Amino acid sequence: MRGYIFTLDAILAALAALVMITAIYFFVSGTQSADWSKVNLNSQILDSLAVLELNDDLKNAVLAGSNTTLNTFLNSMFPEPACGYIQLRNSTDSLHVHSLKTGCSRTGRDEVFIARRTFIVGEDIYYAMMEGWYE
Amino acid sequence: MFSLFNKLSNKKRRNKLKAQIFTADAIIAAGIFILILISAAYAWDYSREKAYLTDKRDYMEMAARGALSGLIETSGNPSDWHTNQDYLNTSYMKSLGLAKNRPWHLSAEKIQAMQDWYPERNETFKRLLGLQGLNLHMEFWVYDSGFAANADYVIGSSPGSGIRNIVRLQRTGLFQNDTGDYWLKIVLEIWENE
Repeated sequence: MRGYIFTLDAILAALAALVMITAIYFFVSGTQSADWSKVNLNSQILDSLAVLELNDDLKNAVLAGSNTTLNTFLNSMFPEPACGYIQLRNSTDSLHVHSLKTGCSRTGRDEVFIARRTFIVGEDIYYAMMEGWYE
Repeated sequence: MFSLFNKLSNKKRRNKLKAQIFTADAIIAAGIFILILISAAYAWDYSREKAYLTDKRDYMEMAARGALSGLIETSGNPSDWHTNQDYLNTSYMKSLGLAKNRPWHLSAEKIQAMQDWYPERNETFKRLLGLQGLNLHMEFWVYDSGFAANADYVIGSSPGSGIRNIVRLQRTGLFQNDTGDYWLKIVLEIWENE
């Protein structure tokens, strides 16, 4: 009888130990590296606005009132599978030009990264706002 | 006499019986104990490996970002390193950068120099970029009414198909040459030997 009680204790202890080991294994296997794709997307947005501004593409888009160059940039230079949307506004916040990458939708987005950059056209101040997200 | 013999015999039997019970319990307990030890060792080994791989991946991601930032946002020290290959031999060369005179404006001459000198001086370049012990592959795609079929500049060999842990990073800059400024797509891949 004593032997049975001892064995039952041992089985319970062994089960408890196995449950704990399994739990540790489960939690450890769930740990993951940081999500670097989001950090990279943020860098891409900052790069995009910097390049467009330094190359006078933002200024030219406002002067021409056309989003052709911005469309070309988003569709050619912005990495797959990221989506991007650029809008150019003046200091009173009125929208002048905007462009959305082909095949992307601004609805139903989970997480959006945003960057802004100010630029000057003549004597007027404008700002570019770019949004980036993964679909 | 007979009584004494019986007593001794009973005592021996009792001792023998106790020893058998103890042995059976001990074997079961030892078996379970060994099973638990093996499970714990496996879990320990797995978690150690997992932590190592996670750390390694994070380190490679940060190294790639640092290297690419240095290349795009700085001119290098000295900034005219591309004019003399001997700079790479000396401690005079402090850092590597591809910018011409301001961030994002990349010099065609510097990219060309890096492509030409990399096969012979890859260890020096990797040291300057903080990528020692890693393999590197870079592509520069110049946008001129579209991209060419192949990259305009290629540095290092591309990774084989069997490499699992590759960090791939893309950034954008401006390519400056005599004919003007062009959008530039820069792709960096780094990986460890497996």
